[in-house]
Amino acid sequence: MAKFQKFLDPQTLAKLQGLELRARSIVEGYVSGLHRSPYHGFSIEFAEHREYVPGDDLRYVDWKVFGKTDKYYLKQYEEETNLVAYMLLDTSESMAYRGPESPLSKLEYAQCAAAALSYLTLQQQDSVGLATFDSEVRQFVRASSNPSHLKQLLHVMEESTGEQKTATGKIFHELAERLKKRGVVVILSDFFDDVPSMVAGLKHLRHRRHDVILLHVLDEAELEFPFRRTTRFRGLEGLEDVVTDPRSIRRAYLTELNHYLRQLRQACREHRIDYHQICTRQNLDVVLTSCLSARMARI
Amino acid sequence: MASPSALLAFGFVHWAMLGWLAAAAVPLVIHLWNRRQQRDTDWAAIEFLLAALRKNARRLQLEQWLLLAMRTLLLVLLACAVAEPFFEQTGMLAPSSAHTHKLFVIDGSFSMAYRPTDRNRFERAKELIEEIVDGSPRGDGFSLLMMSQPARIVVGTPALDPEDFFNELDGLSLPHTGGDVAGTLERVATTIELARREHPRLQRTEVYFLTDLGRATWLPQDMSAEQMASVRGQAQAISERAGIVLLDVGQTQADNLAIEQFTTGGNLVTMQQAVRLEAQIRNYGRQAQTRKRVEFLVDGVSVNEKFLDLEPGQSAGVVLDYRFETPGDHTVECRLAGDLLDVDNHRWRVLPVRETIRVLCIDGHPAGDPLAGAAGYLAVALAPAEDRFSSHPIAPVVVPETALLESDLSEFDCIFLSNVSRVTAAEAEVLSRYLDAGGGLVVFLGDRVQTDNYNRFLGAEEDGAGILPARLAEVVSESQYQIDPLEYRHPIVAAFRGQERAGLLTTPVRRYVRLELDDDSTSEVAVAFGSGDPFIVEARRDRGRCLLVATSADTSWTAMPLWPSFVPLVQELLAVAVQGQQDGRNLTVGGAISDELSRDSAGDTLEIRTPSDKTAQLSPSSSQGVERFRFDDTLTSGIYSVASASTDSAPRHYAVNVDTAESDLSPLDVQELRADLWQGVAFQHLTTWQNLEDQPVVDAPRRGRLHRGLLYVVLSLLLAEPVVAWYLGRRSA
Repeated sequence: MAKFQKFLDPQTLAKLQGLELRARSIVEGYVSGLHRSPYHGFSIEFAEHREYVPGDDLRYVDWKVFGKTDKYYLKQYEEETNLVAYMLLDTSESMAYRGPESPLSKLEYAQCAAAALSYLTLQQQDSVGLATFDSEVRQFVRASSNPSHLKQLLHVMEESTGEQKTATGKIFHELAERLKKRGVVVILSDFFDDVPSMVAGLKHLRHRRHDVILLHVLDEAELEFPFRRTTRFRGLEGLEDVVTDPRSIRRAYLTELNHYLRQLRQACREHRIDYHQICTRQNLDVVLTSCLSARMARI
Repeated sequence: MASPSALLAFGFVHWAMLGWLAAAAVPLVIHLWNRRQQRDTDWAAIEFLLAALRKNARRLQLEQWLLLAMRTLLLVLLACAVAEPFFEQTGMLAPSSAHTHKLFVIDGSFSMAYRPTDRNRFERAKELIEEIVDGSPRGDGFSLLMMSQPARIVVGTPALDPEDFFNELDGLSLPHTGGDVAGTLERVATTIELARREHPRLQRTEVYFLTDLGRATWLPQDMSAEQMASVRGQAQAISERAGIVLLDVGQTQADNLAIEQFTTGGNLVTMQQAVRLEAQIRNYGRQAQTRKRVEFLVDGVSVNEKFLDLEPGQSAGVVLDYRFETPGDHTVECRLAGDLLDVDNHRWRVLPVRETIRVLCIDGHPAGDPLAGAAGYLAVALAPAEDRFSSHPIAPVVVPETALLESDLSEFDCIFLSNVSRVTAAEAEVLSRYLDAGGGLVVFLGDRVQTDNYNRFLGAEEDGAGILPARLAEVVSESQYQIDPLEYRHPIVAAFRGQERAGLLTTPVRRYVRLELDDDSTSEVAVAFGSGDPFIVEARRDRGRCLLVATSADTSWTAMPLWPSFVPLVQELLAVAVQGQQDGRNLTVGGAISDELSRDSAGDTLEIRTPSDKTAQLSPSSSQGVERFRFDDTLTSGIYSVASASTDSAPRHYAVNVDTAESDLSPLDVQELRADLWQGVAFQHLTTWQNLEDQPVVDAPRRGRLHRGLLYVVLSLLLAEPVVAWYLGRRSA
């Protein structure tokens, strides 16, 4: 593993203090593992052609030109400076959950991911904005491409702690109105909310012609329900407590969860929203790859 | 047939072990403890958990209850198994390898002789026993008791070989007795105890009662509450140790006629006078009987027959006056035309017929003029009609008191003592033996009588012979002009009822000896004075009778000898005094034949012939120069004849008759038995007379132990519980 790649591991990240350090570590680690620059990936405007030299990526060969001139030309993209990425970070109480085996809470993981993406975006001179929300929008940082803007973003992220209930539908409607400039909206949340109202909000964002990426952050315990002894499950966000034998209810719980996940995925597919389910034990490069590969596929 | 699955009893060998039942609470406690020991955790996806719980709450609860029930049941059964439960049951039963002691109690009362088909009830019962024995597995032991009077153990120690048992069963005949339920139950308990001691491998016990459930046997009218409680206790004790089956071989409706009584008109049967034979016939059935033939036989020859109509429950008498032409023992039989129960259709009497009745009168104050002596009037009163046209059957012989020891008393039917001053010990001994042999003694008092001497030698004092019915107290010199006949209850005065002109009530008595009876005395006052003091007192001693008259037989104390009542009174005294001679000859089934040998036949070998034509040797025993014999096996009714094997002397006959209590064939309802006499006794009642062939062989009651079966269930639960828990867990996981 290269020097920085170890920072993609949440276990390692958990040992690092400071979100900036974490973000930088993630991005450096990620980039160093790639054979090509990711920067082009984010740009969407075509610049010019140049002649092929050995070593170039064959995927960028313009086959139409080859057809006409019998020469190899590569498509060159102009770096987009007016692309705007919005990080929408869920800071509700449910995001504070950290499973027994997880090094990071869902919120911490989401912060890292958002920070890494922000850092990456700013690195390629694009603009990044940030909104944190729970039952309402708590913080809103306008998009900027200034590299010093990162500090502010990270500061806001670090300040946010999970306390309130989630009300995504309302939030998405509100943000859809506020985010005037068309861009990429990355939403990091556990999406534990009413699916129809949530989807309505997402539709609104799509209507505003934003590219929407859902990073569905879930703890491994939430996906596996590994408990064995009788447990009192304390409901977060004001919901009631439940005392039960986890073994007897596991299958029913997973059925309910999977049903919800299916609903959410289906809705995303219908509305051309990128959906990525991320477990907090997964390496952070998965997050970045998910986002970036999705972008690449769109181009 | 009743259901063979009736449960008889249930219990535990080790009751204390049931304390472990408390352990059944352990799973519940663990469950509650687990809930208290729960972990706490925050949970973000609580909505899905809540939804899952809402949809699966009922299933989860059921699964939890199922597991809890399995675990609790496991411990409950384990505790029960340790306490070794058992049940005693007829019909279906947990199989066991232990052998069974089968104890058969066959009803020996003569109602079992009722013959509704070609076999009577007793034979049917024997067949049933054979069937049960044949159907029993090898290794079972069999005992046999007969519920007769008295109860009899036929096979006590269990017979392990059915052939041995059948030999005893085949040889068993029905006696003509009643049935002693209490005595039988006592012997049943003894036999069970004996079998358990001698054959410990016979672990189970089954008691079969084969009976017609006759009310007269099981619940006689004279049964007291204490006796009922005793029988109930005995039966309960048996039912705790053994299974009881009641095989009812009786019929709900059975008609029967019986000769209740067969009596003779007087006790003195002589050739000179005709004797009145009277039979009392009763219809015990529910149907009227018409033209039933009643036949009289004398010495086995029919002499008369009569026909009789009888309504249900009615009884009627049939009378025959017959004069015997030869002296000696004569047998008289009354025979009723056959019905289905023959035993009580016959009744016999043995009548010793005399040419004359010889009476010895001991005169305590002889005088030249016969009427001046103490026994003169007596002799006249005993044979008043002697004239040249007729000879009176009574022949009195008057002798002085010194002749008492010199006379052969066995030649006399009765002895009268009249004003005898004193008796010696030897004379008292002679009189005592005479009474034991069935003789009669009548004692008149008088002014010569030494009361102290009488009380000493004839009374009940320390060295007395115990002959006198009452103690002699002081002489009372108050004139009595009134006699109290005590409602004419006693046979002596019964003839005077309605005959006031005979003068009994006005007999004047100037002086008498006051007679005292102890509170526990069995003597009976026949007549009393107006003052309340006894006039005539009767006492029975063995078969003999002694009558004591408080005043004299001469005119010194009373004018009675001159009174018109004297002759009939003396005749009646004689008749009552000699009654013992017939009593000894006419017995009830089960009573012992006991008699004194005459001096002529002393030393002879005696043989007795029973009604079933069997003969047996008798061994007389000698006591104070007198030889007596005794024969106890009189369980069959009929004539028993005792004869000398070596001489040709005429045999002496004895009549043995049944007690007709058993003639009433009405059965005891089994519900009544269950509710009353055998209250709280677990038993199975089977009626098998009609169609036993169609019925399954009786599955006898056995004691079943369940702990082994319970342990298998516990083991199954132990294996099943983890599997069920795993399966339920897998379904949930």
